[in-house]
Amino acid sequence: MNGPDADFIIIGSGPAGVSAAFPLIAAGRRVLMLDAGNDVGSRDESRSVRVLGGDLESLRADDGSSPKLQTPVSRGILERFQGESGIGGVGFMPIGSLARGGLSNIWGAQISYLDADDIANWPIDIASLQKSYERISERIGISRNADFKRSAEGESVLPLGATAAYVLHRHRVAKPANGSFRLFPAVNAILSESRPGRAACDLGSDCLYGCPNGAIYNSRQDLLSLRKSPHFRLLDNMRAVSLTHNPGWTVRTADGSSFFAPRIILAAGVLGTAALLADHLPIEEQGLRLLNSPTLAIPLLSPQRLLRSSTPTHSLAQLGLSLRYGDGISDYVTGAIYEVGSLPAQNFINRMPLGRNAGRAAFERIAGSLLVATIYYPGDQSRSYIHRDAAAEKSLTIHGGFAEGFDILAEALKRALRREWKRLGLIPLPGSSLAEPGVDAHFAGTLPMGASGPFGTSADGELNFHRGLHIVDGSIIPDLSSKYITMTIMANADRIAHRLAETEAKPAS
Amino acid sequence: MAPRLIITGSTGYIGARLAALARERGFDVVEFGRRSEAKWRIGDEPAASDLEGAAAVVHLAHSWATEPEAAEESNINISGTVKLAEAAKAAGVSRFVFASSTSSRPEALNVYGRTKFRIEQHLAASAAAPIVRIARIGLVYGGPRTAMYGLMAKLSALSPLLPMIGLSRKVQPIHLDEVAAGLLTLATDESQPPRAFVLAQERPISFAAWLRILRRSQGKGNLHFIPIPLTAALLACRMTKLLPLIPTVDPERVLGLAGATPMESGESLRLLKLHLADPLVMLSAELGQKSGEPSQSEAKALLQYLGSAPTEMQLQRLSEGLRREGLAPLGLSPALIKHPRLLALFEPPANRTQHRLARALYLADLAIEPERQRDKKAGLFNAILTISGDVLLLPLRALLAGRYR
Ligand SMILES: Cc1cc2nc3c(=O)[nH]c(=O)nc-3n(C[C@H](O)[C@H](O)[C@H](O)COP(=O)(O)OP(=O)(O)OC[C@H]3O[C@@H](n4cnc5c(N)ncnc54)[C@H](O)[C@@H]3O)c2cc1C
Repeated sequence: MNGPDADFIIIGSGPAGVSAAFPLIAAGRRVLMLDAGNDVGSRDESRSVRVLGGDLESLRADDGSSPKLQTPVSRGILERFQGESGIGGVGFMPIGSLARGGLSNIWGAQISYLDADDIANWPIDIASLQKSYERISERIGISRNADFKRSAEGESVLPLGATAAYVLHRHRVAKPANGSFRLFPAVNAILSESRPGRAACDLGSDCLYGCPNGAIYNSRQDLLSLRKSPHFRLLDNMRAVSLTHNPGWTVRTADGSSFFAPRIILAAGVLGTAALLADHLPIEEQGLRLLNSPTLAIPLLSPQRLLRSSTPTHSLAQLGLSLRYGDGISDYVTGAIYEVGSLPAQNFINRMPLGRNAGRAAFERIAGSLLVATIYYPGDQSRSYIHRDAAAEKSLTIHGGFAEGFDILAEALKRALRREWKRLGLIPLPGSSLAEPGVDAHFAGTLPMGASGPFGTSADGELNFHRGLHIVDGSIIPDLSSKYITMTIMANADRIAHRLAETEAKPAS
Repeated sequence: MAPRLIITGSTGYIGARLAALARERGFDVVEFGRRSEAKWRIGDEPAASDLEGAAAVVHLAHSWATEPEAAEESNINISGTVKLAEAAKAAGVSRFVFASSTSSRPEALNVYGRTKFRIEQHLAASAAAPIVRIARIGLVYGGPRTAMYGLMAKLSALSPLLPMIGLSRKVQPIHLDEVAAGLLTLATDESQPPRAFVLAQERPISFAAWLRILRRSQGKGNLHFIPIPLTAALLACRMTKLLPLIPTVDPERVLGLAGATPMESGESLRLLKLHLADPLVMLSAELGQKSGEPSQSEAKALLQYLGSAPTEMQLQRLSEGLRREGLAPLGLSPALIKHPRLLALFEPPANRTQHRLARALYLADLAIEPERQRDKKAGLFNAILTISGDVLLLPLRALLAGRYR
């Protein structure tokens, strides 16, 4: 038999995969990364192509999903996953990717950090996670929104939209009744200053269609620097279909190739990883528990801002918010507030009982004073399970649902928020909606770190009873707070890769 | 020398297209049929000299002359197919492709499906088994409007109200070109195993949805159904023979629609490297072609109505979008095309997203998006005029919107 193809094979080139690759390469380990996607869809296209697609694939009737999920990039990424992953949903929208860079091609770049309370039940300490947070933020570039005058010295800032700035100002002036509600400028993985290969945000508000400057972080960008290392190899169009232990691990791909390494690192995204491990896990009976964040969207009008002019800004989150609803450690919701004025008008017009011309006139008049808040509950409010289809052997179905009493909780939250909206001078408009489970795309907790039994992993993400098989994506996050998850997925992958680089003896070469 | 391919039933709907495709790809095609160079009818003993040296036989011919429940020995389709396959094997032909159907089942309602199933079984038990590949073909559409496809296209365009049976029955359409490509691969690709392949769309759709697609792609509006029971349908079929001017419908075809379960085709399609196109897209392209002109001017009217001076690129984009969504032509009257502002009288509210005109206007709005200047908006006064005009016109528009539904 030939020698191994690498010291580590990483499956998946999304945020988790690249974050695991960097520390291993820095320690001189040979890494082979396999990804199902390839490099098509480069960024230097005309605006027409970015908005409508090279083949006009987005010039279609409204399918009712969010505009974000209808853009050409999203279609290319999500539809391939729907078609080929073999994962379906019942009351659950399975969002995943089979594209180079994974979901970071279309993510919203919102950043949150977990604190010691959030990880109280994890088998790791906060200091190690924090060190990894620092390394990741250094690498990907992070900025905070701010109104110009207030920007703290030295901090990387992007201008806050005028309506968001107004609301933040109101918040500071009129203190909340109890201290449980927090409102703050959003933290995003967007560059405010250019770096090699990436230009700074030009406030062109085309974020939805994929940033042409590369100002929004996308793990494809990291692949460029990873590929400069002689220890790193990326193979495209390699969809892994099976893993076998013999000892060491052999990965077989859809095109019939196979690769061998002593250790394997799964970073295929929570759903992609579950699909790859379906044969190794006894999920027949009750299914595999999957945590996701139930999500609520609320449109808000700021009457004081009606007919005022707006500040040019990006169209990602402007403000972050959080609100406690209980005494438990994770009993809080996290949210983001967007300015509607910087989003494309069509999808809003489609929901209006006016003709298109009048709808546009109305939208253009009020959009500058409209905000949308998206609010995420923690994963303990979800009841989603991945089942294996008895009939079709290879396929999985996710059944989505909410925890018992969630509807009451959601109503209570809306009430509690109503007080805060009033204080901030905002009127919640009719049309708030609770999304179908899965739409949040914040998945976690299928194979939690620290859990015993066949569905658990070690603190290093090693699947119990499967030596040498490590998982670094959201699958191993033991509990899902309502905070944005990707920064933590990346930091945890970085942490694990550092540990592997330290503890694994470097093979004699 | 070009490889030889023998095709039976080469004058039929599928056969003609397959023969043309094979010739295009450089095959030396020999047609077996009543009206072709090699005089042959199903049931005949083929001349060995005709078969020798052929790379493959694709057997599409089917005789409708046999009595429905004839004994197997006297069903010419069964005996004739086995005879042909065995002769091909004896002559050293390495592949025999038999065109079966997705209705091929022992318990199929129609004779056709049951016969195809029996043929498959007999072939498997015959001396020819090692060279046999079976193609179970779904609902074929596209190309010349003949056969079952032509009939359905005609029926669906007849009126917005259609009495029909088997509406919830699932069908798996496949375009004529795709069938031809699949059959040719089966006939020529040595790596394909001798087994049954399913040539049909992976995701089945209801027969009702299928008829709607057929209607839409001919530029007509929605289709409503009056479901009728099977017995009444069979009776009506007999009546069609008596009535002038409407197409006659064979009861056998009605039975074919009455009951069937879909077949899994994903693996076959992958093996044959067939990527099936969206039928609505294919059909709108084929059937909408003749009306390319009006749809350009309709596109222009829609864009002008939205206040844009349309560029060539926007026009092209929108025409293409309308065509793909099955919205071309919308059937706007010449007066509207000349005076697009009048569209304000007919436009439904934008949230009626099922309305054809509302959908068309949404596409028009999207088609302008790449060139839109963000900060350019109507003045306040104009905006108030537009919005109040819209509200005032609402009752009238509700009345008129039906025209372009
Ligand atoms: C619309 C949207 C907005 C979002 N916004 C935010 C946000 O604001 N903040 C936030 O924190 N998070 C956000 N997310 C979530 C974020 O995108 C994900 O958490 C993150 O991408 C997960 O990274 P990952 O590397 O684990 O998986 P993925 O990004 O899914 O990457 C998986 C990779 O594995 C590859 N792969 C999968 N299966 C296989 C296989 N069998 N063989 C080979 N390769 C395979 C894929 O090609 C892909 O490259 C958003 C997601 C969406 C969809």
